[in-house]
Amino acid sequence: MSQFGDAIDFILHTREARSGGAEVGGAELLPMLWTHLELTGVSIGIATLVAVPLALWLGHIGRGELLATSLANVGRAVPSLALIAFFVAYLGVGFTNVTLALVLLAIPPILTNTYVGVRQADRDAVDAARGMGMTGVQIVRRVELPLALPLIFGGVRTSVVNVIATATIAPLAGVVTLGDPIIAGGVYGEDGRLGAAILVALLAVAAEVVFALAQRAVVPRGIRLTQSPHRRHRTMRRTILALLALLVLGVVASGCGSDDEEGSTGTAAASTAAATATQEQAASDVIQSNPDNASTKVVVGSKNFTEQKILGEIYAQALAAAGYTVDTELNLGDEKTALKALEDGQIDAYPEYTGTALLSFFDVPTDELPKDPAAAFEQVKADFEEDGIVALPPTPFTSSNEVAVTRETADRLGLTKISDLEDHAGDLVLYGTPECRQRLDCLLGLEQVYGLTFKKFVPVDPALRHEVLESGDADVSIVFTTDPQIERNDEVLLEDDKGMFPPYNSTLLVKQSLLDQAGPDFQATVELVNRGLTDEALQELNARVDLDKQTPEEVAKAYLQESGFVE
Amino acid sequence: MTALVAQLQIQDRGSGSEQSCVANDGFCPGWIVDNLDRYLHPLWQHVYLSVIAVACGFVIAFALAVLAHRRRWLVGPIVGVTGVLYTLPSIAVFFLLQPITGRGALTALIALTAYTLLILFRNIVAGFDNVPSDAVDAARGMGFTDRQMLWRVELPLAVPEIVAGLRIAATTTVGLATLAFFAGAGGLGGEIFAQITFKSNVVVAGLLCLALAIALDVLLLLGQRLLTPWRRAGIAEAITR
Repeated sequence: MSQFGDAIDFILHTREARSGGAEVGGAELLPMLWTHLELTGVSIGIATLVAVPLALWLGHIGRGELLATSLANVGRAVPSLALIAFFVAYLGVGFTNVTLALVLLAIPPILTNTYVGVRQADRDAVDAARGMGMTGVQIVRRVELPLALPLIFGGVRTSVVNVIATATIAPLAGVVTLGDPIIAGGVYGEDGRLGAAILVALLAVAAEVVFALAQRAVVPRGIRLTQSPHRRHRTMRRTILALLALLVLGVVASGCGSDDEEGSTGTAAASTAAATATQEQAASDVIQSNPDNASTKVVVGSKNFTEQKILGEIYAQALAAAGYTVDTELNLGDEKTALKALEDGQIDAYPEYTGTALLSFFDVPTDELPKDPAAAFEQVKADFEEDGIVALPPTPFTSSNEVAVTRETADRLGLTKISDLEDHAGDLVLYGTPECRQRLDCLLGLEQVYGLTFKKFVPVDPALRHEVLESGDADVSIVFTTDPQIERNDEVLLEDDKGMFPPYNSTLLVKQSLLDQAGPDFQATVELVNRGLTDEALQELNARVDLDKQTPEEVAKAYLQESGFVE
Repeated sequence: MTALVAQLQIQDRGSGSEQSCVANDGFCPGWIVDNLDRYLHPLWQHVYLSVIAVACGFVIAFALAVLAHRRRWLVGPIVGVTGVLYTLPSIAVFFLLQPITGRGALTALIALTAYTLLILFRNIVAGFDNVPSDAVDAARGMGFTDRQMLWRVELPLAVPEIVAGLRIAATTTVGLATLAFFAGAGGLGGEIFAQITFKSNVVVAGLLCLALAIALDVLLLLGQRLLTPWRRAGIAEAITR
């Protein structure tokens, strides 16, 4: 249970982010909590303003029963993730769009409950009110609404809990709520992820309790009198029992904890490789399957963006073709998460960029960064050797972080190099991945090396790095050299005139112990497929995934076939 | 080192409306038709997660309801515990469970099952409560034991409420299972997440979730009709009369 202790420590105390640079945890969580509450409050407010009057009116005139009841069913079936994704895809990221999605999510329970509440209002009471000469508006305000209030509050309570839960995935759409440490685990670490999960859970339970109390408070006195006086005690006892039982459940569950791991799908190339092996191969570039390798099990990992997934698949399929038993664990997260997975033995190998390793893992100061790709690789290789990790010879291609702006912004402000941003940064919004905040080749470097202070930094999922420029949410975005969207969207890359970015060739990091066991075919296979990975090839492969929407698995297979490495 | 025999073919983009539709993250019917098969495996994972979670939830909730049926004081605490479970945001639970149960389908199933309990328990208890006392008295008079009473009188008569609970649990679980990929269990949510800006992808994966929810709902409704033939007979009688 020490993991939970560490998580609680994260909630209570500010600490340095995993690679330094930024402060996380403790008081740093307050702005996220605030955004979370703000998002929830605004969404629920709008939803209530829309749904309650509409349902009061429908209920009063006795129409729209089908709408009110079926809306609840449809609302339940629409997955919140799909709703958020739909808004991101069609309207883009940002507070307003997420709020809109959450309003849609919050309306059905409130609408249905209000409608049912009004319809269930005692007809005799309504008739009596009419007999007393009340107008329609008076009946709604003074009879139907008070009688329906408990149910209306029940609906709002359901929606509040739903919205708090869904606001947790808002960071996917560029709104930094308490979900950020959960989704961007790399920056905050496992403690942060767990700590934020605990906070979100507590927040939901607190909201539930507050609204349950409010619901009790708004029951009209006349109705309350008819309820049994034992109710209060029962509820108290019930809650205490419930918490005790949960505690027991927790202890039991942790006692029988297991580390079940679902192996991800094997590679399709394995069967192809077996078929190839039986044929006589003339070309020396074709990967030969060696039956001795089958006893070596390799798990290939990758980070969470397109190029990494493609590289991960290429190595996985090539090694499978060489006869190894291969599993993949792609989409691990950022560089810290991937390296930790390698060190912990969750994966055996993953591709990393030399520049990223130097800056994020070995804290090389900017003025000491090697400019030559070979020198950068040698330094990375030497640094990793102490940790029992081998850096295999790098790829020909290099894919750096880049500072991108739209053509329009570049022309308007006359930007060609990063230092041109100096006079404008205060007015510009920068978007980057969550880990950007603590990377010297990202926000930290822009601040320290170039002395830039942006108006705002917004962390988003790497998949949205071009989307935010196009939608106008971002003035400046951090992208990758090999992104095909740069050309498609006519983006301008600003020149790194102070040499902040080192060379970024990709090197497959492998555990020494695995390499010893795997024999010479392992490195030979990796070096063979590396030969075709040029700048042009990577742009093409990225384009096939990002533009043509093929899967990384298909694209890797096509690369190996078109390059003649497998038949 | 030998020279490359072949090289990666660089494709010409920018021609063809379909291709530019896809490249611009648009909604492209042609692409959807060609790529439906990539959703089969996630859909299957989604079906697996939803069905197993509701089934496990039903077994647990049913056992609890039978217990509480004869011991009424248990209803409060059980609703309390399952109510707290129901309140916890699913994404938080997917991560809170990982230090204990690791990443994978097991973690997702535990969380999803926990969410069904409140709905199912409440409906099963309501079903038992709504059994007409005449039927219970008649069975008692015929010498039924408690067990016979449960299986042959109370359970069949409670089917409508129980199925109503199953329907709510099934649609809710299909929705929650879109976040199961955070626990490493795959599902359609993983596909949505993988290309969240590609309209065709978001629409197809989202609609598949909806379709799955509707399909399970219809299946449960059909199951109810099969299990309660007397209700149909009653309706038919009423119409002919």
